[in-house]
Amino acid sequence: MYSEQEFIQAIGSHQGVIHKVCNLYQREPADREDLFQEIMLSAWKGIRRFKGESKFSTWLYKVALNTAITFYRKERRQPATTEWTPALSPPENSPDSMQEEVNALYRAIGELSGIDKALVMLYLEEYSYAEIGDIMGISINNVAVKMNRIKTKLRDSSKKYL
Amino acid sequence: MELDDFKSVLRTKLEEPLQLRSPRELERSIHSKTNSIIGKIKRSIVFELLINLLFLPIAWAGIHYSLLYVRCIFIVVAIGCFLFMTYTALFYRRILFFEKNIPAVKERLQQVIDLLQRFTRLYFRFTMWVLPLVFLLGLVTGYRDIITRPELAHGFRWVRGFLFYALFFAGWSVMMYFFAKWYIKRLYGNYLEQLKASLKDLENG
Repeated sequence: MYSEQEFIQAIGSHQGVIHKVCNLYQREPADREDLFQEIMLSAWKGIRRFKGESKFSTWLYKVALNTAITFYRKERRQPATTEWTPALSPPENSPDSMQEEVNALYRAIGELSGIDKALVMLYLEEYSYAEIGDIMGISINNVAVKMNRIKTKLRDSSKKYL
Repeated sequence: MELDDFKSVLRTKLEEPLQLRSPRELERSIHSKTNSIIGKIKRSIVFELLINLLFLPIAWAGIHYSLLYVRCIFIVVAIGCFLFMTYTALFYRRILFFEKNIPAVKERLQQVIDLLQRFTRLYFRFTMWVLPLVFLLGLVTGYRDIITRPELAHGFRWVRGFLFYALFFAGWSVMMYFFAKWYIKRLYGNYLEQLKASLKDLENG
């Protein structure tokens, strides 16, 4: 059982997970802030049932993705005229052509559906297909099929940004 | 460029800290008010339960009123309120359980869709159930009004009066039906569609 102090401490050392999910799912800083808040609240409400069957970071991914995918936003604060620009930027020392390619992929990831974004994020975090399947609630085969489709989709859609 | 090539570049960058928050800021986050749809439904249910509780003393007074028809109306309304309160209280308990559970994404999507559909059904049915009750109430009070006032009862055409009232109420009911449907769709329709699309996306292998 986590006390409030222990919970804050655990979140503090894993808060990167929440930031990554917020950055991937929301464009506007205000929406990212709202999502961050909702993920924190969901995690706090759910922590009592967390018995350590999985790693804390895996559990937090589950909370964060659940919240991000079912996030309810009543109305846009601003019209979505700006293009999706992830908070993450490619390494500064990378060559220009590589930066362009990475940016193109970033944009392509931004166009994916909420579910596909979750799969890509977990894949990038080096989770196995079995773990991804467990977090998403689908079979390993389904994860594999989806990942193949996503890779093809990203390869094709990133071309238009190059 | 393949995702797998991109993977290593992104992973390096992902490991870097992002706008890290202090323990105090994190603590503030867990004591703030939720804006989630489930939070909104919870608040709405609490509000409805409170309104029902406030109505109880009025219903109690009505049940002990001297006129029989007033007593009957209040008994019917009180039974309706009791059933509604029981249902909403059970629904609230379900939401509390739901909040504490952290299932897989697919299961969560199914749960939110189910909760939202139950809530909108409850809202719609309540609106529709109230209509016949209001119809009867209007009929009884109207009838009482006419028979106790000779100036109204004199020359009153009962059949025509009843038909007018029934037609007016039928029109009103049709309007309420479409209004409730439109309002629910406006509030939750797009969100529900978005959730269903996500679930379908996840289920498609």
